[in-house]
Amino acid sequence: MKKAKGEHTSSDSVDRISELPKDILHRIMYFLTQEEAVRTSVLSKPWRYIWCTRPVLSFSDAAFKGNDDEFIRLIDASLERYYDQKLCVDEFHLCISKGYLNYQSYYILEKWIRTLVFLGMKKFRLSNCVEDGVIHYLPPVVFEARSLEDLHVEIRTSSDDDEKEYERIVFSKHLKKLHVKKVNTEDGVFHKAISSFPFVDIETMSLDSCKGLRNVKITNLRNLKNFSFVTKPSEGDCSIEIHPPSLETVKITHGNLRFDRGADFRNLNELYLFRVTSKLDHLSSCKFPSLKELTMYYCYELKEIKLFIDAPNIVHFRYLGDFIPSVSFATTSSREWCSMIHLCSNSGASSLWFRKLRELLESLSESKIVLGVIQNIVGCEKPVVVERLGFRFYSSSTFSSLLNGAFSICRPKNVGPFHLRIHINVIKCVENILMKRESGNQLDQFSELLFRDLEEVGLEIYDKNRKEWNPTSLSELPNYEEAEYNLIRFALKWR
Amino acid sequence: MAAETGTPTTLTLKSNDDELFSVAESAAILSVTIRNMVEDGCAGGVIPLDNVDGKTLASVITYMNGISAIPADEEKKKSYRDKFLSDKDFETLADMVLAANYLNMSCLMDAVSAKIAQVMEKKSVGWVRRKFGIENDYTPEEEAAVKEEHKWTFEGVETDDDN
Repeated sequence: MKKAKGEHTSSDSVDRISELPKDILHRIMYFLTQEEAVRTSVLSKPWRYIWCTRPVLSFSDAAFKGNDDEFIRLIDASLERYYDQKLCVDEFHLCISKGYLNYQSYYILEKWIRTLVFLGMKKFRLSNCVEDGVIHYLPPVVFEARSLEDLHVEIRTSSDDDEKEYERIVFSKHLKKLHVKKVNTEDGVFHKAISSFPFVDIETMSLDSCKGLRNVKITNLRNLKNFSFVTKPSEGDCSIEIHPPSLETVKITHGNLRFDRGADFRNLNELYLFRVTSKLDHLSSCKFPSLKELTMYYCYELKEIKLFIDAPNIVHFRYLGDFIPSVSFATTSSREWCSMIHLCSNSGASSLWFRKLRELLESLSESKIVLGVIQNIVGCEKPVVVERLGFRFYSSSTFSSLLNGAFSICRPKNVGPFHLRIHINVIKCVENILMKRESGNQLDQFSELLFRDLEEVGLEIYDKNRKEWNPTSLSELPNYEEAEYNLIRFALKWR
Repeated sequence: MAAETGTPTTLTLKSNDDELFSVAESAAILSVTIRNMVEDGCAGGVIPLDNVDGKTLASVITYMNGISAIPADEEKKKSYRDKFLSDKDFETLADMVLAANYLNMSCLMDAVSAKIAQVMEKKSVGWVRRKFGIENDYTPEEEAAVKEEHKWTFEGVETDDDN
């Protein structure tokens, strides 16, 4: 360890980092900005030229202190050096904001990309540094670099008058990953680009907030594994046609996912649907042998249908919505799975609401159920066992009737968690209700039924450090330090 | 650590200080180096890993087991990696990055490299030298010349350099 004798080194430091092989130092520098990588040249003589050959270049004009011309000259000079020394650039990251790369200078971007293709660029990431930055014009060449395996374009374009230019977009045939965000793409152009090429290799595609898409038809992408689509509701409906068998994860926000009845989702692992406009009853006719995660948030198309999901390997089912859906799963193997149901009740709960909730809980009763109720509900047949009952957004005046209502339909193993300080009144209220049986007061019919089933009530506190729940009691609560304990819950044992 | 060779899905790895570790094949093949050995049929007996010591290998195996127990969920994997590396000092990180490189485990390699880069981020040259014990072997004139050459990277950066 020959370099260990520096005067200013801290007590135990032996210079391990300078002894790491160059490839590893390049990998470490991969995670630094261009400026930071270049600055390492000042550390010591062995470090002087290490940054020069790292196979990634990353420039951001927001961090650049000089003017526009200097920024462009710097990139020019860097690319020239790589070109002259026949060095490889695997990745090129360019983060630009308004003004640095405008309509007049887009040819510079074209020139860079040609050089980068020559240098073997596999991954290209183009983005806006500032959230509201706009680039006036995005040359088609960005999409066409033929060496590319991974293209990430996250940039807001403002021009609508260059559609003609885009008509000839041809994606790289090696492309494995495509991420396009906020780009103004006319439907026809995108569709043409996708369908004009077999695209055999592409595995991951993400289309996020792209303006102007009405129809995404990607049924010809036979190796696509991960697909994600996000749009705003104001953009209007976009229909999405997919090739189900190859897909492993599908995430759709505000789109109309379309597939045939009985479609074959043999590899689908995760399905995430948020406010989709798809006809969801088609799901009932499909098989999902690999599905582990199913998430449905605010899917209004569930309203009038009875959904049956054939997913024997399901691990998590998540539902959030302001109505109670009718969802059941094929009998799963003995494995444990979990349903997380969160309901917002706007209209106040009626007996019909409870009946529907009971039906849903019953159809999911093979799973561990976590039930969350947002806003007020008030409310007997045989109650359903629920793993945890949680409440959000309640007022303390209606809380006790809410709790009574919930107890009339389900038998939670845990109630909570509640915040130790903020919810202290609520904690006392739960305690009051649950401990009433010991007070000797006259019980109403409901409480009698409740306490007939209730065997034991315990209070538990969460230890943040050990990450576990420990038994405690109401009188001990003031003694806990909030830094270490802030949540409590009730543990209920039912007969 | 006792070696277990009974079941076909368990591999035995040997560190360069002769410690033996058994690990599920499904977890061990996160290492492309090991996977290639398995595919070539060379993994029957004990797999010697000449560039990794026992302490580091134990740590790598903990990582292999931990990460392979998490299903395809990038976020969960990332948070596992962050947690796994959170209490490691630089000495250990340097051993890990060398081991990850040798074992050809890109996910561990990237996580450790990013962690080391994080330490260097937004720090002055002097601070990085002190932190990693890098001896400045430039003369003041040479150092000034290198700085001048890359002047644009130093604009707006605090200069707390004292060596």
